[in-house]
Amino acid sequence: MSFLGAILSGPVSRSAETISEHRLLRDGHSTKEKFEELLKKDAEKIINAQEKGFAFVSAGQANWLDLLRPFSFFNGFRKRNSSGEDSVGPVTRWYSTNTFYRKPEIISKITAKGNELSSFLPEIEDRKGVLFLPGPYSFSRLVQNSFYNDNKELVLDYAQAIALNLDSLKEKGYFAVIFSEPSFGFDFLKESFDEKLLVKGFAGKIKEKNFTLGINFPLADASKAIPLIEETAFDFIGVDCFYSDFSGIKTKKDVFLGLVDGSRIGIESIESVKKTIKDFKLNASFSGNFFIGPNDRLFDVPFEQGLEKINILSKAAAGLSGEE
Amino acid sequence: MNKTFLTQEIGSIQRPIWRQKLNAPSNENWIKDALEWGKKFDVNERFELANEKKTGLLQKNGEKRTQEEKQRIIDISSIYVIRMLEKAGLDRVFNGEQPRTEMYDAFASKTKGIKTAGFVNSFDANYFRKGIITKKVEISDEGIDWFKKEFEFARNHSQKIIKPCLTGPYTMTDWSYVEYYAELQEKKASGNPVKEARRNAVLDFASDVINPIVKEYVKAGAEVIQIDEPAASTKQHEADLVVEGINASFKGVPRNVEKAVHLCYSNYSSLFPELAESSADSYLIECTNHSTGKEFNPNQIHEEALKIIELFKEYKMNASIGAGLIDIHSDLIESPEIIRDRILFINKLMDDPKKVQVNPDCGLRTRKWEIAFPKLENMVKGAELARKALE
Repeated sequence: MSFLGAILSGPVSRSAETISEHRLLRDGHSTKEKFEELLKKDAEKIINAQEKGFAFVSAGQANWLDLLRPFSFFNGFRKRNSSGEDSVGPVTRWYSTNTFYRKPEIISKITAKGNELSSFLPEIEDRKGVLFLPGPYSFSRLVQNSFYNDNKELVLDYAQAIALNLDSLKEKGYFAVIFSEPSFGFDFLKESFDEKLLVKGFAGKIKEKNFTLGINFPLADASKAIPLIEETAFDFIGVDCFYSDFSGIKTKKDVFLGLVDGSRIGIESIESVKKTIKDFKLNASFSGNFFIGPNDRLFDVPFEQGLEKINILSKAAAGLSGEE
Repeated sequence: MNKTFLTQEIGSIQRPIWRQKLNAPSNENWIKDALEWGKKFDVNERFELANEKKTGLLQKNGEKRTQEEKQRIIDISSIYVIRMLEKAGLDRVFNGEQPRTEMYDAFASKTKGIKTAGFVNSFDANYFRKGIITKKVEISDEGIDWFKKEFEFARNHSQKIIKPCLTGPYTMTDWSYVEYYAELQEKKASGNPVKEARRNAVLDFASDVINPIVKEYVKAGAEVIQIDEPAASTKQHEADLVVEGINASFKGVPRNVEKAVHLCYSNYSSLFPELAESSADSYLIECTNHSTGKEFNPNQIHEEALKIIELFKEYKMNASIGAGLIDIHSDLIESPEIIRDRILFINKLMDDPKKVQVNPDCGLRTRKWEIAFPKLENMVKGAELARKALE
């Protein structure tokens, strides 16, 4: 059981300065260039905070706003008849938060040219980059599907579109994807969960040598998700340590322990991180390797606290390196 | 007021740059902008902002402005919005929340027990300053006085009905880190600590923050008071708490004052059956966000809006619907005919024109005045067309 390093698990908030500039841009009193310059600075700070102990690094996808944002640039999605940021789709609540996303609408078969995702991401130099995308089940729940009769087909075309993007992603330094499945926990509770959409073929279509694939189940009990994922091509499975029953976890795969709370403002201590790992090792039936990170995106805490949480992960990870 | 298809706004209108940047140096474009809009809306106070003698508030170096001068700029900004809404022809108006920073912070900053944490994104370029609750929440005396004066200022500057808006207790709780209440419950270690913590926070916000302001509005002669609960449906298992919060906020409001609730970007159906127990007289809801297009098909009304109307009937609720018929997320300007069709469609479902009010989906803060004003003008024209169609 080796420690593999820390990884983030989703987008990070923007700094107060960037937010102020974004508002000015919205109101027509700043320029896109000025705003993008600040986004770049935020991304640098996020990358710098991951300097030690991180297996893969992320620039926080600070320019995305939501995980669905680039998809209207794929073929098959409606381009709204309006200008600016509202061109993607209607404003829709992101689960149980006060953040919203733009709901893209699928109007024909999803296909990709191959550079849709990389054009939304900065280059990662000297390190291996990770990006975050909606998992297959959540993707099918978050888009407005006005084309596919069979959601399984939708999910496989989504996989194919991502697969076509891998080359350009690698050119920009990305070697890992974490698929986030918040819909799993949500719908599981409501008994409207359709496990067929966590299709085996999904990860298989994307899986390539030298590319690591993870799937995370924020705000859900991973012990319920793992049996559905065990035989898929995902390399590791996310365990939300605040929602999961460790004793129910049985897996041969590597795991990603989400042990820093993305929804609370308090900053975890290194001791609490270590304690969670210890509890997991004691209670779960697990012999693989493990990553650590936040249980969910760091988008519901301000930028500064997000950075502090990343710092704690970095320090904890540095202390865990080489741990068996 | 029992007018057919009464028209109103929801709350926020974009703050002009000269209002936003009170400390910034003068800028010719801002001054030109202020004078042009002032002329358009017949705001005489525009000459206090800028004049030929160059003695206007905006013509002074921002850093040298006194607190009184900054406050006057905020007041004049409120007058601009009041005139804008009057010019558009709305039946009910307010100040576009010009004196407020935004809907969460305006209350958090006047509430004892909340410490600022920082900004998080809401949507697009809209962010809110999230607070940490560090002790029991309670509005300060200065806070009550601030909201009372804000209301009186609007009333003194308009002949129209003033509809003040207040951020609801459930939303204030949901958008805060409820650390104090959570720690209290963790110490007690009984029941579900998170659930109990949120319940205590909502009820304290309702009784000790929102209700004292509501009572001041009533004393000051408000005919309608709106509580905004955009977070209402975030956690479906807390629908009872949303309703309890609304009822506690409106406690003591006499029957002749309309108790309005604004809900947006919600799964309205998840609030039932609990919402049927709410004491509100009207619900201002989003109907359009999901259906914007140049060609309007009545069936494109947001399906959740259709559901709430069905549920209103199922639960025999006697309240009015304030139908959101303007998409606040789009620069497209809905034509009066589209608005008329949307009103008539909603009216057919409600089957009582006196119970259909007309408003945007949400606050128009997201749109520039060049867009917001014609949208509102067309909304009023659409309501007029709809009234004619019923004759």
